[in-house]
Amino acid sequence: MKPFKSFLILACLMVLLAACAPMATSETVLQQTEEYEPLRFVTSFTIKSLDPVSQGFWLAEYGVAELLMQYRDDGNHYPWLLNSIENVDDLTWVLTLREGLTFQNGKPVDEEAVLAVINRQMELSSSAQSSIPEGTVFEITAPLEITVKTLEPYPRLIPTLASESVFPIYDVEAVEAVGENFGELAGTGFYTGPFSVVSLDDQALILERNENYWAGRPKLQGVEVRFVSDAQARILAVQNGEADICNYPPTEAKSVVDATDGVNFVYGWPSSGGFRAILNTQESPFDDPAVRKAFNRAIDYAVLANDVMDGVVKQATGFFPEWVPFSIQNQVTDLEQAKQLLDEAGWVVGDDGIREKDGERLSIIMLIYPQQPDLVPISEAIQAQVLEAGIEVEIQLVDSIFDALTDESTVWDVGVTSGGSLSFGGSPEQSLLTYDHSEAYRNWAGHTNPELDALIDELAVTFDSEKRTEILKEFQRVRVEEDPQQFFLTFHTTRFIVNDNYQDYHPGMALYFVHYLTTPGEYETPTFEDN
Amino acid sequence: MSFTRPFNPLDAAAEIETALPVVKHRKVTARLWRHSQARIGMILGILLLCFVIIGPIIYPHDPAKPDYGNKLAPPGSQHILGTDQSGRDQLARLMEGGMRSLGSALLVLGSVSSAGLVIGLIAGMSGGWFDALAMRLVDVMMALPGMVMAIAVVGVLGPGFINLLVALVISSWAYYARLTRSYVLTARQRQDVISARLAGIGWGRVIFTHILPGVLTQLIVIVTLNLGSMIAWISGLSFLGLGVQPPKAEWGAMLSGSRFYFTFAPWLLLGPAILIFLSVISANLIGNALRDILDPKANE
Amino acid sequence: MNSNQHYERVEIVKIIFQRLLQMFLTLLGASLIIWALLPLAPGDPAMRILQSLGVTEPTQHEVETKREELGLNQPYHMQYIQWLGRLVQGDFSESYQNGKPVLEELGRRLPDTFRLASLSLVLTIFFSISLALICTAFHNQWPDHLILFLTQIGASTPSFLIGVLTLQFVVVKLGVGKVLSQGDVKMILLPALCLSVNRSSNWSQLLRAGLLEAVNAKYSLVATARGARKLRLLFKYALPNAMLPFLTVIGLGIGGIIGGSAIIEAIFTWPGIGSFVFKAITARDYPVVQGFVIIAGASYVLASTLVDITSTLLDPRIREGGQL
Repeated sequence: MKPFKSFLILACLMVLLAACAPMATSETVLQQTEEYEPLRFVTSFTIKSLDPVSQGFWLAEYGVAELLMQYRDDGNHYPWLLNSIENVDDLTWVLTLREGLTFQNGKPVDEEAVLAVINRQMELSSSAQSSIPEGTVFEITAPLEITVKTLEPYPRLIPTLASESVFPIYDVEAVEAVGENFGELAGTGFYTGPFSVVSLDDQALILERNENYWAGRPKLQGVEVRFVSDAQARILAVQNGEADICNYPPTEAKSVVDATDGVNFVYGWPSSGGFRAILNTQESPFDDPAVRKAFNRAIDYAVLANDVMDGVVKQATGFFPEWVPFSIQNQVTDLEQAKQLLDEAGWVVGDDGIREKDGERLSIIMLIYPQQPDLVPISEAIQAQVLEAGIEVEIQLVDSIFDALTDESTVWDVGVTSGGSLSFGGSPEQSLLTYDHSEAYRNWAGHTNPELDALIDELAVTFDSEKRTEILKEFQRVRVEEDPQQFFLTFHTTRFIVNDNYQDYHPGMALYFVHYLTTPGEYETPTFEDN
Repeated sequence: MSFTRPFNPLDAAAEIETALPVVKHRKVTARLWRHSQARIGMILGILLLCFVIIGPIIYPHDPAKPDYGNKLAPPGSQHILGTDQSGRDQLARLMEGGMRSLGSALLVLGSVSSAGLVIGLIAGMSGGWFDALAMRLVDVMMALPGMVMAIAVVGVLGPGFINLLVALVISSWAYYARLTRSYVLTARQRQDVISARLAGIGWGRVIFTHILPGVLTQLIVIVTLNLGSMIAWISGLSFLGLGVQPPKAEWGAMLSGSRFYFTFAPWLLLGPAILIFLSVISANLIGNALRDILDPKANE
Repeated sequence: MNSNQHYERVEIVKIIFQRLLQMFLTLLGASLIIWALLPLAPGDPAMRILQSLGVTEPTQHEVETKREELGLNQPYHMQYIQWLGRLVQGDFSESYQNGKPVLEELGRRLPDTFRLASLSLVLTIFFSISLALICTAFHNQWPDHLILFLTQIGASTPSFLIGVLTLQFVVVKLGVGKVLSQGDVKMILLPALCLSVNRSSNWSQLLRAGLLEAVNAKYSLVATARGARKLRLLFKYALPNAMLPFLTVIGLGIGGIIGGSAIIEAIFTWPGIGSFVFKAITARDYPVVQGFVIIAGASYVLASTLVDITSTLLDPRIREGGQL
């Protein structure tokens, strides 16, 4: 009996010891002079493969791929891999490459290599096909020189060259050599950027320093990008010292992050995206422009951005974000005007405070979707705000907003989507042609406004920047003041949760998360003007 | 043998022994109350039900109303358990969420047992092709782990609370149908049933007076045994985002949404965690006791 | 005697054959149910597959060609037979998310799930046997009561709750392990322990009951009367007798490996098949879900058949030539 008991007690102890055995301690970032530990991102989007056509844009964001042009924080475009871009006449452009550029694998980036990328992208990439008008010819006209000829004037070429999914510059030979097995591209140095791909799997993208980077030696040893779809786990990872920067944090995390040591909520440069409300003008009540205007004026945009969202997003003061050079701030909140507009249109306040007209209640259905959790508080706040004007809002959550708006059978009055009034490359007409033009494929309401169409069509072929600003200002006036069939509720910000090492992190425009000068203390996007 | 009795809520191996002894329910209720563990379970269960049913009536806060100026307020006099990340009253949300977690578990088990009852009754009474077909389907459904089947259905229908409940019903009706059928088959041979038939009483009445009461008692026992695992399943799948969608409250979903706030506002996580635990243990204590009482060996 | 043994062998072969046939029919039935669920999934499969291959706006012609290729224009019974035929050849269709073959996608994640689930199974078996032995040795004394109390709590705590609390208290507060375990073998112990709590609690209760039954059985009483010591009795008589039905439980546990660890995988960002399937559900990637269900279901059915056959062979009533 006795030895049996002691044996059992011993066994218990062993079990306990095994369970408590130390596992591993979290690592800390060591800093040495000009030698920095790899920067560790944790992000929600998985990079699915190394196929440059479908996934190349991610690599532009993480300092692997580079583009011909760069769209920068001041709202202007600058040459990146190009030395210059020249508009010879309305239909002809001359692109001149920088001298002495090489891929990470040492091969030269010359006119042949770039033309090969352009041809391959035009053949395989739907973004390239839809961005470059039919009949455009790219040809080599001199060493390091490519001439572009279009059939129609095409001022959008510059933003297109700055768009991360159109022409990321890669080594076509290396890519074609692996066929469909894009995994074999790891380690081949097929891009030009400061960091090259070591490996990519479901869990992480691992990058190492490109020692031969054309603009200078990158300061970070490398970059790790981990893919974790669960936002809670991403934030915990930063808090627990397993990552430096968490991308795409939920906005609701801000108040807690502000109050927690060791983690910080920081912003990058303002984003061009926002929550766009689209009104269905095919049905009552928004078939009446007065009701559209009243709805637009009844919303308090300052409250949405500053109180509901804690200032984590920017107030929508107009159709374009304030930082855009040609933007005007003409979107206002005016409850009295809203009431007056509705009174004049014949909508009378009923017993329960909701307006009525000919027996119809002023009740609208607003579609939001769960992939954007911020839309829940925003739509709830709008519901309360427009109620003051006598408009009742019913909020409906749909699985996919695009499917719901495309589907003929959906009953809706307002659909909210996340999209910008500027493309990623910084082109306004790209987005106007996608959403606002009568023929636009995302004009789900089928709304027509000949005045706006004429302005968009004119903008699409106008080069002169003063003239463009004039057209854009007129567009904004009509869009916001006269026909707010589409308008912005809030503008997004680029947000991160970072540890103390990276508390000054502040990446530049168009999501360039990391570049060759990035270190814990240095974050400005380089201008490449000295190179 | 009691070895194949399942217990693990989320264990794919969960399966219940098919043969249950005949239950005399009046005696059982009294014996349950005398059983100390069952008593604890029952008191806990009643308290939880009061919390989710009576609580919202006497507690004045609206669980859905955000107060953006008062986010993550600590527990205090105005909000007894504080507020969540959108300034909603946590206690009110726990009550509303409990209604959804516990109510839906009961709803699913209710639907499952009704579906099983109807199918089993028809199969047992009619025999023939329907019986054969239904029982082959039951065999197949019972051969697959319930969790896997639930994933298949949610995978097809997509995430959503109603879809989740439908998936759970589809994946767990089979056992109830088989139990009902076998009870009906035995009952048809019973002396009282045969006498009633010989006395010229129609099947319809015989079913209602002689068969249904016994079947129902058995089903209630099984529902009790399964309640704990059902609560765990529903909150577990909602935790993963496959059930209740925000902003609606549900314990599993609330737990998932509050993980990051733990260091700052631990009450947000501990509330739903404790309530889920108490619900499961309450159901399990009653279920265990019921099994003890009904186990013929234990009664010897 | 000889003829008796021969009769026995024929009988056993017959049982095994019956069980295998039953398994085959079950698998066939299950495949029919899983196939029949497909039309409930939203969207045209041909369209979804084309989109997954990077054709964002396929033409009518492309869709029609793909439908023809998938056999979607044929009568339902032919569609099922073709689908089953492809399944048997290992063609589980392509993921809607990236157009890659489903079997390859699932197969890539299987080793991680297998590592986690098998370690947890080993821990579970170890814990349940040790706890049950302690309980039996100290039957109705305080260690027994304590363990019963703890296992009652363990059995009533859903594994996701254990996972979340472990992550908060052990990983974040104490700094042991990592939030992002991401398949790192050094990080496997915590998720495996979390995964085993629930089952260890249940299994140890089951084994305890079995051990107590065996200790009180007639042969044990006889052995005790002959002067066998309690320890010897426990290990020599009670444990082997209680283990036989316990092996059934373990066998079914092995069958449930794929699919049993899903929630814990999701919490610890363990890159196994379970967390992958939950992502597929959210992304409405039905081919992946379907592939998972087929593999998880089939492995469970296979394991339960094997368990059945093994226990038939091991059953002392058969070994000793008794009536079945």
